[in-house]
This record gives sequence, structure tokens and C-alpha cells, in this order.
Amino acid sequence: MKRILFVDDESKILDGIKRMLHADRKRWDMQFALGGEAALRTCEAGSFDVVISDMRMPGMDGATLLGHVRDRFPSTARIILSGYSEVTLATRSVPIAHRYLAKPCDASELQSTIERVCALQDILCAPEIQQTVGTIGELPSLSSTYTHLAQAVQDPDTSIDSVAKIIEQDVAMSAKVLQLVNSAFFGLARTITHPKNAVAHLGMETVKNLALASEAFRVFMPDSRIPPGTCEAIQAHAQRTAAIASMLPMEPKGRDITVLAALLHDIGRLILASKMPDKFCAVLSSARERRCEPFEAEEELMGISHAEMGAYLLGLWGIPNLAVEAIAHHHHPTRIPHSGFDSSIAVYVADLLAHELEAHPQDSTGSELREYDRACLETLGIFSRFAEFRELALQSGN
Amino acid sequence: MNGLTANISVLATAVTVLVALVVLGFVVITSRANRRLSAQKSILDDERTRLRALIDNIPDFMYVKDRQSRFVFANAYTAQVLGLNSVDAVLGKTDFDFFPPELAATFFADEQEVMRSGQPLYNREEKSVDRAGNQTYILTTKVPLRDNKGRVMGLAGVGRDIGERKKNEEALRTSRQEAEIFINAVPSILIGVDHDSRITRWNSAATSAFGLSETEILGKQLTDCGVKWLRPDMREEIQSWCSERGSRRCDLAPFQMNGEKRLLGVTITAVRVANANSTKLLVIGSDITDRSALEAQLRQAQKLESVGQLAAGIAHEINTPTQYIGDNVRFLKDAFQDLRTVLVNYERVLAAAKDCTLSCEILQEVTAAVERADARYLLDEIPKAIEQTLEGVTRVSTLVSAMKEFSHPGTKDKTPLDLNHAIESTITVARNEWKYVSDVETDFDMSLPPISCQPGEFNQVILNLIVNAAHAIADVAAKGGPEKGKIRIQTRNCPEWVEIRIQDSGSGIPEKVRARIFDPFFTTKEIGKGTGQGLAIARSVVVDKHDGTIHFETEDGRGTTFIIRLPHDGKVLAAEAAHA
Repeated sequence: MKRILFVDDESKILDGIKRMLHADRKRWDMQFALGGEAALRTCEAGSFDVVISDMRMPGMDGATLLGHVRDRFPSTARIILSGYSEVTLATRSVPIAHRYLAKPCDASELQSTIERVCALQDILCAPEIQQTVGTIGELPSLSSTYTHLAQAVQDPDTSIDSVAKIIEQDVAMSAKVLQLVNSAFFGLARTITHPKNAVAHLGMETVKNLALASEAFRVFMPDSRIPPGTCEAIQAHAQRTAAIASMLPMEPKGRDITVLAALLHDIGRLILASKMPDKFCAVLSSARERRCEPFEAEEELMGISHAEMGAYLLGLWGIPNLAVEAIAHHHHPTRIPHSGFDSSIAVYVADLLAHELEAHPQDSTGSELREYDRACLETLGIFSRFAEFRELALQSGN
Repeated sequence: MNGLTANISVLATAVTVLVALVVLGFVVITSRANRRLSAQKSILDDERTRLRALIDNIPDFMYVKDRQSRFVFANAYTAQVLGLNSVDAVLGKTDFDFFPPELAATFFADEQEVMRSGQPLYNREEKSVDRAGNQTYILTTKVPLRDNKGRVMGLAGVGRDIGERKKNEEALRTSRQEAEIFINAVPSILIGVDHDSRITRWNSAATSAFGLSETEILGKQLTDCGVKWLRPDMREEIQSWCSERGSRRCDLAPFQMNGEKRLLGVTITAVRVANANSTKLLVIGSDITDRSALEAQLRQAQKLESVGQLAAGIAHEINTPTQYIGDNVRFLKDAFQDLRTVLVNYERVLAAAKDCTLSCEILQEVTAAVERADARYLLDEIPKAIEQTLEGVTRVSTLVSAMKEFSHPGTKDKTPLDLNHAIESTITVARNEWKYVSDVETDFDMSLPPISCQPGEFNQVILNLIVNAAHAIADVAAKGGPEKGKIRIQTRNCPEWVEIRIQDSGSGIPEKVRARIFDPFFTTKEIGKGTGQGLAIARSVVVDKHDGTIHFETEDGRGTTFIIRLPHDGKVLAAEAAHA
């Protein structure tokens, strides 16, 4: 049973949640702590899978509490449930929480958020992942340029100039970022030729994400045994998927996360290509023989696919948890509950459409959907809209 | 300058006489030598030696020329400057031998004119060149020499090189001009005032600010110089400037210019000078009308900022009860479904009992259903859920009505206000600002009469003071002090006024900033946490708009109490010291 701790300085909030989630008492072991200090003591007595905390509390506030939880119980999922506006929250607690929920938050949103962080936790802690990643040895770390950039973006006083200067220092990064900026998914009217203009047009957060993507493409150099052109194809597919994802009808606030996740969704394949080339080749031939998708062959061979591996690595690199989630589930979108057309669904759909376009570039009617995907789309309740999405995808290529 | 010229003239006359004597001596000696006794001769020789020594050691030109302007006598200095080793070498030469032709020609013409007219030339400044060819100036005196029959036989000349002096004068003039340009180029108003408060300096910024030119104003009294001061006590103010030492600021000096009210801000600095007649006070100022307008806008901005911050806090205050109201109602909805199931089951039992068909199976089923529904829990929790829901609704509606009280939309005029009630509302509205760091305790005097107030402004003052108190307490907590402090708000009715005391358990106001806390823009908070306008606004609202007083009592480590006194209607409080 998942252990979940709710923290608030207002006992009536805790009472309300306790009552509201009374029906979930059979599947979740729920504890309630009044204030940050009490919460930390409760955590020390027995660790939790999820901690959901208010932000402002007298004494130890939510940010401090979740900071302690992050340092001492890193596998615990951290959620903020606060009465402050999301904008204030997002700027103040980016590194501390996996999710932000705003009060008032209804039962279904709270429940599905808990379910989703638990699902992701289960996947990333699965023995197959640990086993596979264990054989890779040390995972590559991010360059100092990126670390520097991420710190600068975090700082509210950073100027566009200083962010642009950090990127400029790294010629390879500048080139890659500009290439991504000018690719189809931003649909900019003119070509951007300077990192400063990129930052000014797209914002620091987006440019930071593009820099992260460029890092990812760079650190995983394919092994010599990998057929030439494979990695280029993976990168091209990543950009096409991002372009399609940006066209899909979703809430604007989730767009950045979606584009980032779409751009990085196949990072797991690059990890395989560079760190486990034998496995990569075996997957390719198995998929050919069995006429199945590579991810199915991967699951056959390793118990997990590139989706979970990529999500695991990107989680370590500290990209937003929602992007990690979208990447982890991009072949199994029905594993988690959804509230509307979220990033996970968008990345799944965009990936599907990108593959379709790559297989039949001329054919606007599209190929026959696989039975599996048809079932997924039906479960997600968007099967009827798929033709409309396909139209958008075709436009994205122009 | 005049003194120097006079000296030169006296010198020139003396030298002329000396030279004449020497020349005469020559004449006498050559023509009558034989007829002189040797004793007389030796006296004259002595005399001559002494004179010669004098003449040769004087650092000025001395010479005698004949009618053709040939040197017949020159002193050692002249020879030296002309570049010759001995005095004798000069004799018989003319200026044409030493100077460029044009220059020599001018000298020659001058000398010929002196000798022709018999009129001496006194202290003429002549351009000349030195041996190195550099331009210099000579102050020259040339007098005609006459023989015993009165005929002009030549001239005696004496001259002084004043090149260095001219250079110094030039440098002085340039630096004076430069200073003048600087003073006039300064965009600030610069006014110099002497010990009689007469204006000695008036730069162009002053001219354009007051529309009065330097010429019409110099020498006039600063109090009556034509500037239309709009402060009735401006005369006393200006007099107080003149009597003080050191420097001081005066920020409120309104005056009229082209029918428009302008504001002058000045710094008055006493200047120590050797000469009693020169500037004693330096008044440096600028027209701060535009700046004051900006400041007023900034105050408005501060108000909006605090309203904005308040709005975020109020949203939080509303979102919290909304959360648990929602949770509880959702629970009640589920609970009702469960209870309905329980009821349906009990109905089954009832029906079966009536029909006498009640079996063990039915009882087991019903018991299981009731357990599934957790009926005992529901019966315990439902009343609490209802109670907390109602409490939450009350909390939201209290807050909403307090907000209405606080903002007082539309009332700019003074209306009789129940201060206790107004303060209570402000405490409620600001709850999110203090509740994490402090408790608020109120001690209201219920006999407080209504006070005529601008409610919005009054509430703003109370809000600013509560927020400040909360910040002071938060600072103590951040430095490891007790986590929760106390804010105590007290009202008292006194014979002449009502008193509001807002006391915090913060760290007190440090000694060195106490005098400045009501200054606009003064803040000890970190950048971004405050504009430093809160207390300035409080002061302006209480003192300027309500004829009240505001001051504070503070103790290091113990906290601060702000005390506001507002006069009972129709009374005016005597101005008090701004702080205790």
C-alpha cells in the first residue's frame, strides 16, 4: 500500500482531505501532519511514497519541508498543494516539488495526481530499470555550460544578455539551439541567427530546455556498430515529434513541457545506441523479424523499453517531472489517469503521427492504425479526433 | 596692479634721476677734470662707484641712448639680457642689432617720438622677445634727456620684463572665466549670499528657474529679490539659513513662476571665506516640482503594490476555506450515498421483519453492507463536516465584508468612522500577512467616539503599520528568535484625542535609523520587499490629512510601538516631536 502524508497548518484542511479520501483508505495508507516540523518527525518514523504539503506555514514552511524530504528521502514524490496562484508557486518551488496543485483542488484532481506520481515512481524504481541502468555504468553528466545556464535561468535577476552569453560560450550548444529554434515547431516568421534573439523570442525557460536537448543529443554518441544514419534519424524524428506536439490542441501552460518531452522522448534509444549497442542491434533485428515496434522488442528483451530508460535518466538530470512522466508513458499512455489533453497524451499522439508521416510521407490519409494504438486512442477518448490531429500534423511539416 | 605700476613709476623716476646724475657726472668729469681738486674728485669717484653698483645690480633694463637711439650707456642687466658679456659691448649699438626688424622699428619710432616731442613715455607695455625668441612683455618708461641748454640730447630708458606676470594674469583670468562657465553650466541653482544675506552670485540655472537675471538681482536681499515665495514664513526660513552654521536641507520652498506654483528644494551650506564681504552662504537647489509629482505617483504605486500583495494574501485566505468546504461537501455527497445504501438495507430488514421473513442471510447481508458503508464513521464525521463547512462559509463571508469595509470604495471625503471596527476589518483583511509569524491581540476602548476620517486612507495607515509589525517579527524569527511573536493593537479615548497603539514584539528600531524612518524612500528592508513609502504615507495621512500626530516608542530587542493620535472632531493637536 502506498504511504501518503498530507501536511497543512490548517487542521480543517487535513480533516476535509481525510474525509474526502475516506473511500481511498483501502488502497492508500494516509497520514496527516499539522505543520512542517510534525511532518518531518512523521517522515523520520517511517518513510512515505508521497508527501503533499501546503506552501506557507508558520515555522517550517512547505519549501523547507520538501527540501528536507528531497535530501533525506529522495525517492519520495513531493507535491505542493497551496492557496497561492500557480505563477507564484512555479517560480518559488521549481526544484523542490514534482507537482503543484492549487487550492481549491477537487478530489479527482488530487487522486489522479497521486496515482500518476505513484505510477511513475513504480516505473522508475522497477528492478528492470535498476538492472539495465546498472549495466551501463556511470551515466554521462551534463556539461558545465548547461549547469551554469540552468542556475542562471533559476535566478530571477538574470538578464537575457547574460543567458545568451552563457550559450554563446559553447559553440556546439549555440549551433544546436539555433537549429532547434529555427526548426518547424516554433513556426517563427524569420530565421533566428543569434542566441540572444532566441532567448528574447522564446524565453529563458524554453531556451534552457533546448539547450538540454542539445546536451542529450551530444553526450550519447552512437557506437561504431550502430548502422550509420540511425542517430540522425532519431534526432530528425525527435524534432518532427516536437513540431507536431506543438500543433496539438492543448492548454498553453503545458506547451513548453510538452515540446520538451516530445524533443527528448526517444533519448532512451540514444542511450541504448551509445551505451548498449549490442542490445540496440538485437532490438532492431528482433523488431524486423517479429514485425513489431522497437519498444515491444525492447520490453521482450529487457523487460522495459527506451521510454522508461530515457525518463529515468532525464529524471536524474532534473527536467520537470511532468516531462519525465510524458516520456515514461509515451508508449503506454493508458497506464495513468488523465485530466484532459495533457502532455503525456500529446507526446504519445505526436510520436504516433510522426512515425506515420515518416513511413508514408506522401500519403495524407495515413496508414491503418495498429490495433494496439487504436485501443489506446479509444481508451483515451480521442479516437474520433485522430483524423483532425493528423491534419494538424501534416500542416506542421509545411 | 595699480600698486605695482606706481612702484614702477617711482622707480623709473628715480632711475631717470640717477642716470641723469651719472651722465652729468661724466660730462662734468670730462670737461672740468683739470679744474677739480683731487679731493673733490675722489668724492665723486666714490659716488659714482656706488651708483654704478646700484645700477648694475638692479634686475631691470637701464640705458641711455643718443639722438640716433644708439646705446651710450647700459646697465649690466641690459647687457646680459641682450646676450653680451660686457656693458661696453652694448655701446654704439641700436635695437636693430638685437631685435627682429619690425620690433626694433617700433622701439625706434617710439624713442624718436619721445625725443622729438620732449614728452616722456611712462609705463608703456611693449611686446618684445627674449633671447630664446619667446614672446614677452616689457613695461617701459622712456624720458628725454636734455643738455644744460635744455636741448634734447638723447633719452634715458628703464624697463621691466613683465612676461611672467602677464602669464599669471592670463591664467587667473582664464580660470575665473572657466569657473564662471562651470557655475553657469551647472543645472542646479547656485546662489551665493554674503553675511548681510545679499546676493553675490546668481548662476544661469537660477536665472531660468526664477526668471530673474543676474544683473537685476545682484546685491539684493535674498528675501526681497523679486522671487515670489509662497510660504508665509519664508522670510524667517531664509533668515534661519543665514544664522546657521554647517549645511542643511530645505525641501519645501514653494514659489510662483509665470503664474504656476513650483517647488524648490535647496541645500544651504555655510562657506568660510577670508574676506568678510564675499559669499558666506551657498544655496544649491533645484526645481523639484516634477520630482514631487513623481513621488506622488510613486505613493500611489506603493498603495497599489500593497493592494496587490494583499490581493494575493486574500486569495490565499479564501482558497483555504474553499478547499475544505469543497472537501467536506464532496464527503457529504459520498456519505449520503453510503447512508442511502444503509437505509435501503435497513428498509429490507424492516420489510422482512414485517413479513416475518427475516432470515440470517438477510441479516448477514445487511450487516456486511452497513460495515462496508462504515456507518459509524459516517455518523461521527458528518456533523463535524457540516460544522466545518459552515465555519468555512462564515470565514469567507467575514473576509469579503471586511474587504468591503477596508477598501471603502468611493469615499474620498471625511466621514465619521468607528475606528475599532475599521481596525478590526483591516486586521482581518491583512490576516495572511501576519498569521504565519504572529498572533494579533486587540484591546479596544469601547467608549471611542466616531472620528471624522478618510476611511480608505486611515485603513491604509493601519495596514502599513500591521505589515511593518509582521515584518519586524518575521526578522526576529529569521534570526532564530521565537517563532511566533505578538502584535497588540490598543485604542484609548483621551480628553482631546483618541490614541491607537500598535505594538510589535520585533527587535526594535536601531538607534541610528530612528530619525529617518518617516522619510520617503527610507527602508531597511531588502530590495524588492518595500518601497520605503509605508511610514512616509502613514505620516502624511495622519499629520497632513487628519491633523493628528504619529510617533513611536522603541526598545532594542523588545519591540516598537507606533502611537497615532487623532483629534476629537473640531480640535487640532499641537505639533509634537516626530519621535520619542
